[in-house]
Amino acid sequence: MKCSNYREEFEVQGIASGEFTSHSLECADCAQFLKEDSALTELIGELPKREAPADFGVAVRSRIQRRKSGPSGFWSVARIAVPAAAMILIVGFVVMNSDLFINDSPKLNDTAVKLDKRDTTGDEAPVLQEENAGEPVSPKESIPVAESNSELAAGDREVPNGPSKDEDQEARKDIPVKKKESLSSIDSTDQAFEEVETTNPPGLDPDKKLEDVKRPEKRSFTDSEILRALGMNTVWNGSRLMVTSVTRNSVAQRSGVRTGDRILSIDGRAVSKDSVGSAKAQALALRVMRKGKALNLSIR
Amino acid sequence: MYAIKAMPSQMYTGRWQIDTGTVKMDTCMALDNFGLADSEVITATVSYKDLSDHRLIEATKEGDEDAFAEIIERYRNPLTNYIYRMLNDYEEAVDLAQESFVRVYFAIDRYHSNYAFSTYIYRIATNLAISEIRKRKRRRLFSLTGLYQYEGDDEKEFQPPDNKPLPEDNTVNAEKREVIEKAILALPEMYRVPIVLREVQELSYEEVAAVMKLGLGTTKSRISRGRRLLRERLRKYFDDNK
Repeated sequence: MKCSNYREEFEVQGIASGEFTSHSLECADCAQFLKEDSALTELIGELPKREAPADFGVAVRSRIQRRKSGPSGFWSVARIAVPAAAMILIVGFVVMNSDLFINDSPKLNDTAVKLDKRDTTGDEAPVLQEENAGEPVSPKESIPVAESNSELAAGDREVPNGPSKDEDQEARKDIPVKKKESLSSIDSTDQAFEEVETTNPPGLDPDKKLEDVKRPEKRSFTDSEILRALGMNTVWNGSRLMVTSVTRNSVAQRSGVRTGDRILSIDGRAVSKDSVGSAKAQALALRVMRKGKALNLSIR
Repeated sequence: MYAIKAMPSQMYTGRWQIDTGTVKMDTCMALDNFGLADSEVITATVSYKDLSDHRLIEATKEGDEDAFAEIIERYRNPLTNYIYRMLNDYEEAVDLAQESFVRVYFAIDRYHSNYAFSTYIYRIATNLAISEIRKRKRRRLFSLTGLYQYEGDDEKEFQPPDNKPLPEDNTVNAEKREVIEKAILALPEMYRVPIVLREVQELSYEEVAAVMKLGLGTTKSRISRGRRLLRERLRKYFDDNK
């Protein structure tokens, strides 16, 4: 048997067979091999054993307890706090910029362009029926409603030599003015509302018809409140609205209102307990009854 | 230590009356060795040290923390030494040995008594140690020291200095220790694991094969190959010490 075979057998078995021992007496290389292997075993055997520290068991139990109670300290707090803070920031950002997101829609401008075109062509357009106005509105004073982009295209076809892009831009600039003009003759009590309506209120979806849009709540005043603002205190005596006092140097006093006057109408509208009107910083025409005579007072 | 007073007929019901309450079945089963007769009232003292690994594990599964403490006591030194020989870093060895026990504790329900507990915990420790070795290799790749490696040094790991003095240390022993430690650490992990398990921890071939999930023949082959590599690395030392 060759030396390599002896050695392989020895390495696999881990023990030198009798044959290999006899062979090693005659073979210097194999003798050297066995000597080195023996020295190696001795060297490894002399390696000192490292022992665990005395508090090893305590440390293991402590680790187990920590894992049982989950992650603690900073990271346990951070794991919850960071996503929560991120959510709050995102929600806050969206809420604060909701107007920006909604009003950036280009479709609203398309609606405005269409308004302008309808005015120039004189086409009959859907009429905004004001529920609170009380009076029907003429087509010229009405607010055209964009049905869709296809309708807009149809409008373009109806205009001979339709506006170029530049003309279109100019038309857009004029829109707010034209809108306000067209609304000027609408009932005064709804004017404030209409002005709000035409200045793209927050939340207006250009795809919706104006009839479907929920209108902002109007700021309304009773007749007594309106008169009090002008400088006169009133009281209802049955169906009569009587002036009980007039504030010195007030608008009412300068206009000639006196204590004891009975207010008949405001701006031509008969006063009543139930009526409400919008306030406006413009001239008011008061009709009062004083000593059996009706007087017209203009309050400015 | 439990002072047990119980009826042998209750031995197999799992609940024994003892002077401090009830004792769990696994503890009481140790009384099999006492050769009790039926209907005999006994008073015996049972220590956790008398219980096998499997019994201790079963007791731990039932929430007996003292049984797990005995497991720790049995294996803490061998495991620390094993990982230390794999890494040559005492602090890391202690840390990974502790982590091994923690993992055993939380995965104790998945442990089956088909194979020895020592095999099970050595396998966990081996995986942790190999993981650490590979982590250090990656760290070394990105460190400046990696630029000055010379050829043939690829198998060596980055080893932090271990300055802890040993009680029996002297110059000769320290030299011997350093030589063999370096030689072992220079072994590739596929040889280092079986060499340390077999030669340092003195496990049987079968146990080493079970830890490494290898066949017996492959395990023996790797051990012999590892020894050959060690002899080659230590040849100069052997020649100098003839």
